[in-house]
Amino acid sequence: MKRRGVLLRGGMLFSVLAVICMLSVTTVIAADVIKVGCCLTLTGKYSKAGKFFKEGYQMAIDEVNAKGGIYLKKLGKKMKVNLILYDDKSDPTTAVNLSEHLITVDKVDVMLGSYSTSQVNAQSVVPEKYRVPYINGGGASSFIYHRGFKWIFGTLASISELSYTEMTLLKELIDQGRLPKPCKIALSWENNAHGKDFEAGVKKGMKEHPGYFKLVLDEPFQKNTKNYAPLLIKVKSANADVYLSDCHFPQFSAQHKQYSEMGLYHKFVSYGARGPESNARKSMGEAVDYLVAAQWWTPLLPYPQSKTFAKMYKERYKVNITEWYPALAYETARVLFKAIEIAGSLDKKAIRDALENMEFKPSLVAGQILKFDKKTHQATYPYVIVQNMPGGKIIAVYPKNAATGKIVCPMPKK
Amino acid sequence: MSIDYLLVNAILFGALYASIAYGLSIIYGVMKVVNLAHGGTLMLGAYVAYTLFTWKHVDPILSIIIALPVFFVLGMLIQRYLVDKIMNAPQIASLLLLFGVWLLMKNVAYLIWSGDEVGYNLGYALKTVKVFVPVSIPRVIIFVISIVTTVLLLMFLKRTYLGKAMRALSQNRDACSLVGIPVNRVAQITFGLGTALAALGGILASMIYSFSPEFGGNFLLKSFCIIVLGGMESTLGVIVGSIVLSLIESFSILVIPIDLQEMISFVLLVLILVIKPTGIFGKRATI
Repeated sequence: MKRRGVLLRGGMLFSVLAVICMLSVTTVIAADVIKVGCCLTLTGKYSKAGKFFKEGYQMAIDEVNAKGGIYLKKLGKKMKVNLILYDDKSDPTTAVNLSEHLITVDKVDVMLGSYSTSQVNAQSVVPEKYRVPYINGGGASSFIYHRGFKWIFGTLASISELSYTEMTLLKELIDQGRLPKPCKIALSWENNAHGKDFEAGVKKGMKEHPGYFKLVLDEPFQKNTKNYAPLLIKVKSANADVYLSDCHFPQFSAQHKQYSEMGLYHKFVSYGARGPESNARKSMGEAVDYLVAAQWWTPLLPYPQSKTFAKMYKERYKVNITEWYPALAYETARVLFKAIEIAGSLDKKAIRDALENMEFKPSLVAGQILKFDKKTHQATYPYVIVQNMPGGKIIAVYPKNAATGKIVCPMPKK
Repeated sequence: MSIDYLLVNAILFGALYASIAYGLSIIYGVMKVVNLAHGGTLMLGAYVAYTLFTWKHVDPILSIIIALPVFFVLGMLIQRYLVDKIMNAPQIASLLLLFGVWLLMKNVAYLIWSGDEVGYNLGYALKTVKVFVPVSIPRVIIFVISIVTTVLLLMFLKRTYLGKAMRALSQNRDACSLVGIPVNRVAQITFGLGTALAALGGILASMIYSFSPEFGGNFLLKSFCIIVLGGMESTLGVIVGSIVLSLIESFSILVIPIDLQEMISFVLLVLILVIKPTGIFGKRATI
């Protein structure tokens, strides 16, 4: 009987410990602190990005805490930031449940977002319901921000801004006589919100520059497409000067392999944000040379704050930063802390208002100013455009104040 | 429109589809078990090729020789210690069990390789040869291996004792027991063979696609369509089903928008199940 009691108590203790371990990756609760809640894709299909986001958030938090915390004018004191972080396992339902837990049980003051459009879209409903300021750097699709939500902010510029930036670059290339006028564009896009945003940006660019462009193909495709030959045959038949395709990495990889195999050629080729990834070079080699991609951030940006961040990252994590994720995570957290400082208290509405009116500078992003659209709360800033060069080198080609090299256009025939 | 490219591409893709569907077909044909772990095995096959290539620069063709015996044993073990335990239970039990195995495979892959999308660059990956139209060498290799696999599989099933035993088992399990066929042993070998064939499909697919632990699900659905189209218990039907599906997918762009292309396999699946549930080769066909 006694043994059974010991077993029972041991079992209960083990269960409690297990639940605590499962729930909390980093849980630091202190009385006089600003509680920042966050769940990230630390495991599962977005784990790579999730780990980068954790690094970026942690850098910003350590930075502010090293200065004694955030000064809250109305309280007349500095308060340190404590991150309450959970793993949402790359599952939208888990992200929703954990967000609910963060707000109702942990009583967080503000929230930092997860990674990927699907996670952000799902979890953002919770802070909106409880009126908790929420800011993310992982969801770019504009439909997240077109739901009339008041408490949700995103630091990734929209995908339509991405393609619009590319159209602005194309217009400059036409003006320089490096592309014909009108320039024939073949456009393909994933048939989802991401792709529709991309198409909208292209059309916006066409409308703003009449006579410059002619859309000879406008074709959506499904994200789970495996056989791209039918699409690419249409692209080939369209006889375009420029090929723009919006896709995620797996689709880009499969499509561009077939593009290269079919011997297709365009003077300018871009797969949206895809192309500079190290995995692209590893799996396709020189086939990715001269591809053009638009990025939210790149270590190539010549701004001092950008260089400092890249240096800090290397010192802390002992690797060169090559991806945009940690930079945008760092920037997202910094913007939130700035908003808390402007609000001067932990009043949620005041923090929300400060975010809405924020003009954060000097920012890491291209253009060095990060601000939000008043209506949608999505950040608006130009993308930085990069081009893959032979030998694995990548250069920034646009905007001019961020360029580290001149774009090769028309791209050489292979 | 390049009709010649569409045709060549359809045939090449048909060969890949067939390689991927054989494993599912043979297990269902002999054991009447829908192997939902098929997608997971495809994914693991792809990762084995990737690991061998990045670790010791082993060409995926050589990986096939290394990986197939391993996956054959893995399949036998799954059958012996899992599937066999529930052979007499309602079919939903094996469906759920193998779905669980698939989830387990995915999570193991996440632990070992993380969720990153990976691929490898074969030196000859983008070199082309002219087969009426330019075709990359990996796709020619996939086609050749697929044809060789088909021939070997047909010869094995028609001419060997074990193959004949498997065909007999597909027709009447009880009668096989009565005439002295070691039913359990044949079932284990069948599951081993089906698993090895699935891994082969994964290795071949990894030569042209990037992949992550989520890889395989889409091909599993296509495999369902192929075996329903060709006849659920027919090896020849798998080849015909694969080519038919691939041809329809490729040439459909002449009449429907590209974004509906992926829907075709599922429309076909429903139509065949309603109109001719036995598939193209009808009732009499066997493995």
